[in-house]
Amino acid sequence: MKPQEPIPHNYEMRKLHLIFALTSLGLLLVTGIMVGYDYVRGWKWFQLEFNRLQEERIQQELKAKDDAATKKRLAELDREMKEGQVEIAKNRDAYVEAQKVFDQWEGKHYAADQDYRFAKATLDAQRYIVELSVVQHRHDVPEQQRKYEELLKKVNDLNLRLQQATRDRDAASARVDKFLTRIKELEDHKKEITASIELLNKQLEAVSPKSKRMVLNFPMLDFINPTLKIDQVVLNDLFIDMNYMSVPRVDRCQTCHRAIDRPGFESKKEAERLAQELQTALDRNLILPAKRAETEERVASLRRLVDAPREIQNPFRTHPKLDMFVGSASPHPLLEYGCTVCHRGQDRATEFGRAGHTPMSLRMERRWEKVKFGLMPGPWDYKQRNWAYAVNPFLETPMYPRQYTEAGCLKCHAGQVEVRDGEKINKATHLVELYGCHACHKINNWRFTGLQKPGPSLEGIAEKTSPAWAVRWISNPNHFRPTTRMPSFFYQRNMIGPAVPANERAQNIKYQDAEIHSIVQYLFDRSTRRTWTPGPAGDAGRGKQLVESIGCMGCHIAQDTVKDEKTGAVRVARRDDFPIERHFGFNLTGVGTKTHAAWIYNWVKNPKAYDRLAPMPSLRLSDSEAADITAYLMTLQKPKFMEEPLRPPNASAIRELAKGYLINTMTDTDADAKLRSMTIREQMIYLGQRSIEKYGCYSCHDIKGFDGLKPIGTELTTEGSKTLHLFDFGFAHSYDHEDGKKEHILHNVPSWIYNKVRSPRIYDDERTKPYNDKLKMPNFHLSEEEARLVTMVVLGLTKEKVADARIAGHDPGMHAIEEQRKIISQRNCRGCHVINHSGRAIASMISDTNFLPPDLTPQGGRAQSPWLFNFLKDPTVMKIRPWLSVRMPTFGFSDHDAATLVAGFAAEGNEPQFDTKRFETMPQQNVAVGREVFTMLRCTQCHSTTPVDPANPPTPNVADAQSLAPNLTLSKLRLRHEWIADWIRRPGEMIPDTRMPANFPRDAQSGGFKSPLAGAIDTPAFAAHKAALLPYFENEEALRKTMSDAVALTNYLRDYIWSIGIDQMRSAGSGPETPAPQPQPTAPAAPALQTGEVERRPLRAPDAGGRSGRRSTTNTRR
Amino acid sequence: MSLRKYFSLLFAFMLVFAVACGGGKEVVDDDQGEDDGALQTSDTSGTAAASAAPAAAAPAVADAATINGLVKFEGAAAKMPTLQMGADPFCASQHPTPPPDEEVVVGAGGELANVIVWVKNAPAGPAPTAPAVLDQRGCQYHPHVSAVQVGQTIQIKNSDSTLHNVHAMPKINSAFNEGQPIKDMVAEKKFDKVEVEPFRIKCDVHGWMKSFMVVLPHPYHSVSQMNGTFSIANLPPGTYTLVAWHEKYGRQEQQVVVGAKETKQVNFTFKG
Amino acid sequence: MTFLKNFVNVLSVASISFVLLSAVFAFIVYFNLLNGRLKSKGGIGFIILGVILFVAGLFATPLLYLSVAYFLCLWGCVALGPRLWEKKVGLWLLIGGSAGFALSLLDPNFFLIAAKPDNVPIGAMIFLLGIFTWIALRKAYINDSQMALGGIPFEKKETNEKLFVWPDLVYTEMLCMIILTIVMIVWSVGLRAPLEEAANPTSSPNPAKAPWYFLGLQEMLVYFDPWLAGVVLPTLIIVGLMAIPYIDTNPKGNGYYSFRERKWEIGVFLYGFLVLWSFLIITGTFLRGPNWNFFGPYEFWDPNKLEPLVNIDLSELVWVKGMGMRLPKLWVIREAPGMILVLLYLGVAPLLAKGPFRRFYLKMGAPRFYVGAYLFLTMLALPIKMVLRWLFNLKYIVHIQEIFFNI
Repeated sequence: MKPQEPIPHNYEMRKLHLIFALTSLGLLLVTGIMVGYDYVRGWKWFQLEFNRLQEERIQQELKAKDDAATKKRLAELDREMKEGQVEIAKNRDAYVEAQKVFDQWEGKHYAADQDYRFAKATLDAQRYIVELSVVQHRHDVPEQQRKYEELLKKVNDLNLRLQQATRDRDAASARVDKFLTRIKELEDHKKEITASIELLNKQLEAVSPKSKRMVLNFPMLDFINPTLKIDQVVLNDLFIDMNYMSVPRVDRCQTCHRAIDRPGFESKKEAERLAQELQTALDRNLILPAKRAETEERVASLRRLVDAPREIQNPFRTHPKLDMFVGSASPHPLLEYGCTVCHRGQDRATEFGRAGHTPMSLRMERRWEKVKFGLMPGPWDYKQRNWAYAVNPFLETPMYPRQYTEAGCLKCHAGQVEVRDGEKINKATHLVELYGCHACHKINNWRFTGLQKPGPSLEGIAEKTSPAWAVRWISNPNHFRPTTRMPSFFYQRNMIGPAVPANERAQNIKYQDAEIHSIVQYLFDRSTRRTWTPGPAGDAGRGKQLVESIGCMGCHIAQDTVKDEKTGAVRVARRDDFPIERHFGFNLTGVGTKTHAAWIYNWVKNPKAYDRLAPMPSLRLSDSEAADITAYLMTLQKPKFMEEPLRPPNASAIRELAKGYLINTMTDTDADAKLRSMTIREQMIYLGQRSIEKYGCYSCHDIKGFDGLKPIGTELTTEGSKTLHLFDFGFAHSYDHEDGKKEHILHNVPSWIYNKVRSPRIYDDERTKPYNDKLKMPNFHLSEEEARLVTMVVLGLTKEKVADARIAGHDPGMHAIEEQRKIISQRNCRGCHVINHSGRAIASMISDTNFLPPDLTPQGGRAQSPWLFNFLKDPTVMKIRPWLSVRMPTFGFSDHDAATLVAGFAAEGNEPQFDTKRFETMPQQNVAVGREVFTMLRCTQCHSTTPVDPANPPTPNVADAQSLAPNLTLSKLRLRHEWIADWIRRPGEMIPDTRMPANFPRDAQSGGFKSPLAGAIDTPAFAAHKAALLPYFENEEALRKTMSDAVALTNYLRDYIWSIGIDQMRSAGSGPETPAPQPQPTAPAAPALQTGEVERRPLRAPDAGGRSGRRSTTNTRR
Repeated sequence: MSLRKYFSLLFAFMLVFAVACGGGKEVVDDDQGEDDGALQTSDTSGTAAASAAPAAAAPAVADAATINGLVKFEGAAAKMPTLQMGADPFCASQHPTPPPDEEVVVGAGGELANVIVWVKNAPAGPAPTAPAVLDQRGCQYHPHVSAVQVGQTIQIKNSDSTLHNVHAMPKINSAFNEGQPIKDMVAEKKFDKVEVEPFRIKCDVHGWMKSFMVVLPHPYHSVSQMNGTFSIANLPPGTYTLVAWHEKYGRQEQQVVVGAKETKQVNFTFKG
Repeated sequence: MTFLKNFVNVLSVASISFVLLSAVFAFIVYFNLLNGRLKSKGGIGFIILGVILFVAGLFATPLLYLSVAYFLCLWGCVALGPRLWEKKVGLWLLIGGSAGFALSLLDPNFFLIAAKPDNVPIGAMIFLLGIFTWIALRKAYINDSQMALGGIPFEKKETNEKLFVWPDLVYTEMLCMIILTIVMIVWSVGLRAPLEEAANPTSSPNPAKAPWYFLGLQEMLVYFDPWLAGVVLPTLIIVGLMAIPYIDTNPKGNGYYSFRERKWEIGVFLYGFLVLWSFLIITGTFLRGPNWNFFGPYEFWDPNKLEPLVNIDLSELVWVKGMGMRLPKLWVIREAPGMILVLLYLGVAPLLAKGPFRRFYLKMGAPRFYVGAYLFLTMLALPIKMVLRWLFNLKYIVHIQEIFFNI
């Protein structure tokens, strides 16, 4: 058949082939790219880089390790070994012989051992067979039994043989060893020297990039067991709220932050600090003898780190304060707490940007953003530390910038007033409390509820000062008192700042004037007008001396200029020139200008008479003292302030503003009509009221007619969780702060908050708003540091949760302490006392440390609750150190507060509330021995033992007040039984700067106590004492033993002191002096109530307030 | 867009297989810094360890020099009150007439005693041999001021049959406060850090008792005697700064150059 | 008028009026074609080029210039005539479009939006639309001219020839597969999947957008009552699509490209697909920013941007503005003008049946004609409503809140 005609192809084959070739090549290439893209991860680079670093460090250590000394030692050993070899060589034959014998025996032993084991195995098998046949009632039971017996015998024989063989073998080997012993021990010696170096070498092998294991990291191979891999901790009870469910955190931070939990990679600064710390610990013998060597080694390596040429950079640094964070022995071990629970950020992320790093400064941000090639930072970027950073708008919990890291503490520690060792966060929360952020901004957690209003009551302002002063004060509080806590509401940036156009500025000033005058008008109009009877004339000099000595300066400052440390020039004082406690009361400068003698006189005598909720306690001043102090305070004048010209309020401005409020409720015409019907005074009062509402004065001050109003500010309870898009950055990017620093506003939440508190009106810049819509937050003139701290707290207030078990201050004991701490900070006890190692602001005023108020750090274990309660309620019941001029004031604690304080102290000392020993009498012998020891140690030199009236004991011999010590007859009422002995043993450890000497100093080696009487008892000087003591001991030996036993001696002393104690003491409020003489205002409606029960000034409306202190305990936990 | 990524990919590859490249100039930011200010480029040389004393070889006694000197006082010396020891009868009994305060002791020729003189920049000297003694006699410290060497044993002795307590209040070294109720008790102490700002040692039982002490890394120190003289021996030749400190009149410094075997005369003059 | 105040509105008006123009223009040309008055080739040219340019340009260049460009091109291609269908023209279109796009990328704001990983494919879609439309119509043109000379369409010819499955089919398919794989990989590596944080009900993204293929519907929500835009119209779309085979009974153009034989069908399709669907998707993707505000292609998407809400109902327009009286209480009266207007609009269909479209009416028969007509009117209603909104801030033509019925 004829062939088919060829069918033409539609395409030219060669072309297709070509395309095919090309495309498949392309495919190969892109597949490669895909794999590579999947393989290349930023963190791998970091891990490689870290390996290199480790290598470097280990090399360093190695160099340090095998120094000349070690080399020498090793050389010696080698030499000795050689000698040993020679030794052996000498009588070689004997050695060889012995060796041969040994080998033979070795062989025999081996065989015997094997036979034995096999036989035993068969025996066991046979036993089974026997049992089986017994159970199955086989007929061959007896036969099997027999077999078993035989085997048993055989095994025993073999066993004997084995033992024999073993004995012989050992004998032989002993013979051999005779030759080798020396060499052996030399080798061991060598081992233990080189051990640490060996270890280091091993580590070196592991991390070196040339090590064979690197092969495991190649693409496709890396699924087996790569050395570079993601490192993570799973935290089940520190969950992330995923809106629909709470999922456990999975922190992968160590994937890049390799060294975070391993010491040896500290920054120079941290290394320096740590080395110092450890060194002092070593010096003070606080390190266990066992640990000493290694600690010294550590210090050495730290010093090497400090001297190293290159600083170790993040992400490769060790976490600072490993003993507090991250370290496995710390309270926050990495495996339990991870990282993101404190630092926040995206826990699972392994890329710089996605992890939510937040720059702490513009400079940092600029550097981070830079990166040469998009995908991830390469070596070149790494050197410059650029991370291809970009703000991740979706991230709900970006990391805290470094300066705010402590904000994370609040997540678990919000139930605490003080976090242990948390200086920053404690100061921060204290600042928030002091400046009263919580007054205007509701912060609904335990720490910031149930606090008193930060400002004084204005319900009696007319009795205290004049409108002229008030107007000037409100207009610019700082001008009158540079250190005041009262913020500036008026004439701020968004009213008269540079950005405001001139004509608008003029208008604003008019308005502000009007508001100020109206507010004052309202306040004075509503004020009570009691008249206060002036006191007798006093002596200013004595007054000054009193003010400085009796304790006023614990809460007050009386200067508004200071000498600059650096320049030495005198400049206007700043708040941070003084301890924070001393801002609790107002700055006394200019008080004479502000108010008048009669008021001061009555106020200092009894503050509660003027304002029943005044935080100022009564110092129980006598009339003459009060008069002197008044005289002194009246000398603190600022006449210039009052001479400054006052702009009279502009009537039209008042009208316009008032109308602005009126037309919210009525039409324009009606408003005009109403205004026309009002006198200018009425208009002002109306406007004043509205302005007080507008600015929220009532949130900090008690003002008539504003009870129960909600605080004016935004609630901050979960401010830290607000996402970026909820913050209005306005148009401001950077500005020059009033204190001259240029501030930049980064586009992140912390920066926004910081600049808000630093310059509250900044976000109004370049914005056109109606007058009443402008930002109202007042300017606290916070220093950079203050602003940063406040921001820290705000950032810490999040809605993130952790398991209850993780919340600090959760258990009742802790909580008792916290409740107490709250009152302590509310009453500013730290102004005078040291509590838990911090406080005593007054110290700077009292030159001689001997006359300072007591350190209450060990108070918990020290004082008996009944006494403490009594004393708190009424300090006059007992004078422990009558020679002190500082006075414990009468705070008028409510029973509840006093009880809370007492309970807190007890809990702090891990002591039961009550000391049952109180009612026991000590055995006669103890007392007698105690008395002898007491005299031998010459305690009487300082301590009096003659009973006195607790309320006013005599002050013995004032000529030499330094050497005075409390009268010991008061101890039984006051001190806990156990504590006395403990105190005698280690006073310096309880209160570092105490004057009580350590009569039983610690022994550096044993850490025990040495007794001075140990040897002395036999000296002729003590013969009499010895005679007196002997009857109480069976023999001299026992006596000597006791005399050298510090603990026993202190116990005797304790019992003696107990025996001389008096049992009677006036109970609070019953005595002659209390309540302090009451000045009664001679006017209608004086609400001055007897100082007895006085609550703290409530933050909310009084109805809620009175018991708020108590309530706070209930509403703490979410 | 995708091109850029593509490039970076290539580099990423290089990056992973690149064995880390050390050296090269690098910008180092002190990331421990509190604020922007701390983000300056910090020199990487490293801060010297605080307590690293200049380790010099022990001085060759062969050509050791000696500094002798006299401390004079010009102007009206503050009149010292007498110490009221009434509080402790024993102390009172120790002194027929109540002794004056030892703060300022000026001799007939205006020589000033109780001035600590030491070499500021001397090499760390030989280890101390004899212990320093601080004696409490007649309810006063002897010596009233003293200088000791780091690690030197200090024997604190109570020669009175009354209670003394030695309350040392150094800033750098660790403080202690020990009672000595028994006559002839001796407490041995050491200070292991240099402390050139003289600190106070007091007795809380007897308010008037005080003594001052400096801790130096070397033995080149002396205290002016009643006749105002002092002497520092075995000093290796070199250029030094001599420091003289007085409890009331503060400190003075002087440059001094001493050659081998030389004996230099250096005088200090304090003004009232 | 408002749109004078707002530049963006002007742009939008230009663009939309331009869409309609192109549609209207298309019709004029059709009529002329029917009467053979205009050269077919050129005529088709006008429409197609108009559409393509519009779609491509809408994205690539500012709308205002776009309309100008459009008319220039229009007259250009009248002169161009048949040469429009040469291969290289398509190439130029592609190059031109890309060039415009590339140039625009230089603008940071434009880049920000166009380069968003999830927007890139939509950008690509625009080109593909343009190019494929062009190719299809090119083939159609070739066939038409063939048939005009009494020949048969290319596809018909093809069916008579024989070809090997291998290599002609399988080989090429495989090549396509490979190339496609490459493209996909490069794409997936080059553009990271835009993953975001875990969903959080309390903080929704701004703007909150529907998946890209629904952006058309979301855009409609701006102009129509949710009930209408969300339920009725989508239903109509589906029903309409299902109805096509029953309405379109034209047997011609099966299995081969031809325009002349299916002028109406293709015209309507292009209008519905390109203008109503694609254009709205593009608007929704590239021109709708935070708070669903309208942003020009080169405008920065500022979340703080505020647009005055001054929309007004027809009733208010008539009674309050027009007659200066208060709104009648009774809604029947109040909404009368609106309802009348709507009825008139729907009443057009029968008129057409009697009038110019009589021929179709006879050919298709009443049911088909009316169904088709009403579907078409609904399609036309959207742009009309849009223009009314943009020009007169008209909110609803009929607004009866009493029974929740708004148009």
